[in-house]
Formats: sequence, structure tokens, C-alpha cells
Amino acid sequence: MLFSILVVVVNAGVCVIYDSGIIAKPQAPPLILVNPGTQGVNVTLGANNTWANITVKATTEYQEITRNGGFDTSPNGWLYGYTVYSGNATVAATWNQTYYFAPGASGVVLLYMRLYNPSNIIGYVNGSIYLVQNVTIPNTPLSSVTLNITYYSTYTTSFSTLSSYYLFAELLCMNGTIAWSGLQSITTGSWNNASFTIPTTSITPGETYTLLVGARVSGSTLNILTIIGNLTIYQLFDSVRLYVEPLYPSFSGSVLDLNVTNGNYSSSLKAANLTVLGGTNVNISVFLANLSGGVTTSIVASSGLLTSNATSEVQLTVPPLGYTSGYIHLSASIYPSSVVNMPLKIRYSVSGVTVTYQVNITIIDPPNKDIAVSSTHNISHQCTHVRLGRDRSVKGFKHLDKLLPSILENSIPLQRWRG
Amino acid sequence: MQTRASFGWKHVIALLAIAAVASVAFASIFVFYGGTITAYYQAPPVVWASGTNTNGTDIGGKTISVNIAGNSTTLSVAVHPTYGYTYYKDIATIKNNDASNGYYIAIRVTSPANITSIAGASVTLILSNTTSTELIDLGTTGTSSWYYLPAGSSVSVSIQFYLPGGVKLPNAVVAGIQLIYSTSNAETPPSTV
Repeated sequence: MLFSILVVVVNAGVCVIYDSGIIAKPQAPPLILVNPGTQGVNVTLGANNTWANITVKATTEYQEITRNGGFDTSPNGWLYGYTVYSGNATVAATWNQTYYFAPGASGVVLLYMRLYNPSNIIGYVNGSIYLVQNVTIPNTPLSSVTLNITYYSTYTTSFSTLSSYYLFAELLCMNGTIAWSGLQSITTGSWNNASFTIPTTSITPGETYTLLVGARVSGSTLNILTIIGNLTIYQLFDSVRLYVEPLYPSFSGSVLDLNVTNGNYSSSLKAANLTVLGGTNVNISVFLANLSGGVTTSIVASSGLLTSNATSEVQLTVPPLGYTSGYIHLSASIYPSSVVNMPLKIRYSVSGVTVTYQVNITIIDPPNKDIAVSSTHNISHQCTHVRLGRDRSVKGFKHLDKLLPSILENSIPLQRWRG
Repeated sequence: MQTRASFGWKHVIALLAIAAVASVAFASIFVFYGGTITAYYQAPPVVWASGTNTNGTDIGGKTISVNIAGNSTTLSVAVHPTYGYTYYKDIATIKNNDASNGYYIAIRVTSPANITSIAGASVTLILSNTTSTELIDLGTTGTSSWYYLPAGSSVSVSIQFYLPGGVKLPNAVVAGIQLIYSTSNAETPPSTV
């Protein structure tokens, strides 16, 4: 382009003109929208996955509020953590379609923990390993809250005593205090269903909690000759689903996933407006979360009015295999038969560049306006009583431990919880 | 013989005389007065300058390329927008280095962005400071209204692109602009000659 400067006298004024140019080379979007496949959510994605129309079914039916509670195709939405109370530990956590030593389930998470005490003279180890996910309780009174788990447990040890071996679950407040905890004895060597009934008085509607589900184990020896011991557990989960039964039409879950293909972006949401047809007894909370558990503040609507129309920012990055970079979480309770519409803007930025996508969320009470909703994948639990690893002998321990690299090979590693 | 020779010379002289008289009759009269024009070139008081995101990181790991040259009188920008709205904030500024005098500035679109064939697509240049904002459509030829730049002040330059999802990505979108500044806002900026 030819640049020039021209000076022109205009009456009493002097006019100076500079030539300049702007070139834009459009590129494929580095952040795309993905249908999370949540039950009760119908997502229509636009071409290039840069806009979406979302219809959410709010219901009084028994509903799951965990994200990807069946681990059907990936560990997306779940992290793992562990705690060692005594001894040292080696841990691993992976997802695979199936693990040969625990057949009969499809889409399985394996938590592996090896506790040992090379220098502990009292011969005692104690630790836990668990799955982690943030869950938000619908903002309406609840009739019941239930945690259903399908698990397979096995262990090997060189200790003389397996002091304790429990399936445990906890709901932690965001400040880390325990809102509720449950403990059950573990049945080993087979796929089992466990259920925890959580008192509705233990939790607050509208609050977000961190759900932990895992195994807690301890072992010891009284034999002075075997004070150096090992205790290894293999804890598998086929599903971890937290259900609530609300009194008013409600929904709580992810309505849209976001996937970054290149770069790191500060991301946020903004509500353009809120329209309510029907009763105005509408409470809504929307936030954006990333894969490592970071969340923004919420867009909040109370009694049908927006009281906060924008979130803070959270960092979205290219996700590891099996995960999405982040998701939009919606928690809503609406008046029976009402229809709520909330256009949202998704913003992501780096340096001084901000990209904005448009998303429209409609929340309906389905008895009057039913929609096609995505179906859940029910897994057949053909429990086979394989008891590999049940043997506490050194031979059994070596058997599984030797095979651990091949067990983990080609599996998708879970991301570690930093809570 | 004598008669024929005398006729030739007389007639030649007569024709020259007639031609001389005729030439006086068809010519203008030029009068010349002396005078001088002296231009004292000065550094440009209004210039392109860097913004907070000049040569910053673009989406997709690319770079917002901003080149300010020609004694800060030319600006070249290369960016990499995507679908939806892509907003490039404060990629450059227009700065008034004159501490004593304010100027009126305008942006003229000389070559509109070749994006108008895509329904809904747009490119907008935004001039803004803490109190006012001027939007300039880079998809249409034309000249913006005057924007006052007080003495010693600057105005931020941002660009917003909108490309609807579903269309094919254009190879490149190019817009040619002129930055115009004047001591007066009394007239529409003139065209270059």
C-alpha cells in the first residue's frame, strides 16, 4: 500500500491526511462450544461451534446433579485426590473403557494407591484416595438427596492386619469444612452398588459443594519381623451419581462445554437480559468452571430479576486427553409452567483481544412444553466375581503390581485435584 | 525579369509584417511580480502511537502486528479474528504532541473492508477516550465526523470484527483508511489530489 501525507489548506484551517491500512486474516476459532450431553438439556450448536441454543428442562423429578456421573466415554468433569495419614504412598488414577481384572462394566475409573512404611517401626499405614467434583444444589427446597455409587474394590497387602477398609463420601463446603460425610464397609472382588442417603438438613439449596468419593484404608502388623509392609488398593468406579428431588421445577448441571484448541484464555459470562413468562418466582445461578475446579462468580437472578449480570474470569486452557477445558453450569428453579429466557455472552480474551460468542438459554417446565432430551447411558452391571488381587500373599501383590504399567497403559490419566 | 524579382522580395516582407501584427493581436499579456513561499517543515503534531496491546498476543497464539512508520504518520495493522465478535482493544493510539493546540481528527475509509459480501459481517474502528466514543464502519467508504483531540491528549484506537458462524473463513480482509486532522472543524475534510 502506498502511504502518503497530504496537507491541504481549508479556509482558515489546515488539514493533514495520513494513509494507513488494516489487514485481517481470519482464523478458525481457538475455543469451541461442545454439547455436554447432560440429561434434560437440549443443545443446538451453530456451524463452527461458535453459538448455541440451549433448552433446559426444569423438573421436580429425581435428577442427577453430578457431571458425567457414568464415566461413559471419559473422566471429564472428575479429578482425583489422595491423603496419606501414615506411611508413604504411590498413587495413580486413570480412566479406561474397561479393566480386564474387573470385567462387566463399561467406562471405568481406576484409583490406585500403594501405601508402604519403609522406616515406620510401628508398622502402620493409613490413607485414602478419592474422586472429586464440585456440585451445585438446586436453589429450591429438596425432598431427598441420594448418592449412588457402583464400585469394584480389590487389595493386596503384606501386612498381617487390614485395620480398616471403607468406601467413603463427603460433601465439603467451599471453605473446606465438612457439610456431610458417610462411610460404608467395602465389599471386595465384585461390582457393587452402594447408596448414601444425605439428610436435606445437611446441605443448603443454591450452594456449591465439593463431592469426594473414594476408599479409605489402613493396615498394620504386630509381627516384628514384618514391620516393613505394603498395602495396595485398586478402587474402581463405574458410576458416581448424586441425585436430588426438588419440590419446585429445578435443574442443576452443565449446559455447555467449552474446549480450547490453542492458547490460554481468561473467560467469563455476561447475561444480556432475562425474560420470564409465567410466575416470577425464578431463581437462577450461572457460572463458568474450568477443568481444574476453578469457578467464576455467578450471574444471579432472584425472584425473576437479574441481580448480578456478569461473572468474574476463569482461565481456560487446552485440556488433557479425556477432558474439556471448561463448562457453563446452570442452577435454576422456576415457577411451575413458566418459561425463562436468558441470552448469554461468552467472552474469552488474551492480551487486549476479546472474542464474544452468543448463547441463548431457555428454561422450561416440561409438563407444558416438553422437549427432546439427551438420554443417559445405562450400563449393564453384569457382576462377575473375579477375585484377582484378593489374595493377601506376596505373590498376589506382585501379580497386580507387576501388571500395573500395562493396566495403566493406554488409559487416560485423571487430573489431580489441588483443593 | 526585373519586374518578377522585385515582386518576390516585397511580398515576402509584407507577409512577415502581417504575421507580426497578427501575433500581437492573438497573445495575452503576462505581468510578473516577485514573491516567495517558504515552508518550514516541522515534526507532525498528531501522530500514530502505540497502544497497550500493540504487538500483543492475538488469539490462537498469533501476534497483533502493528507497524507505525514514516515518522509515525502511517499505521499498518495485521490481526487474526475469528467467528463471533473479536474485539482488539487499544492496539494503537492517535496522539496530539502539541502541548498548546488542540486538533480535530477524522478517519476516512478509502478502501472498504472486503467483507461486505458476507451477510452480517462487519469491521468497526473505534476511537475512544474516557468520555467519548466514535464508531467508524470500515465496510463503507466515507469520512467520519470530527473528533476533537485536546492539546497533549491521545485517543485509543480499537477494532471490532464480526463474522457470523457458518460462513467460510475469508482469506484476508483489507481496509484502507486515512487519518485526517485539522485545526478547524468548519468544513468537511477535502479529498487528496
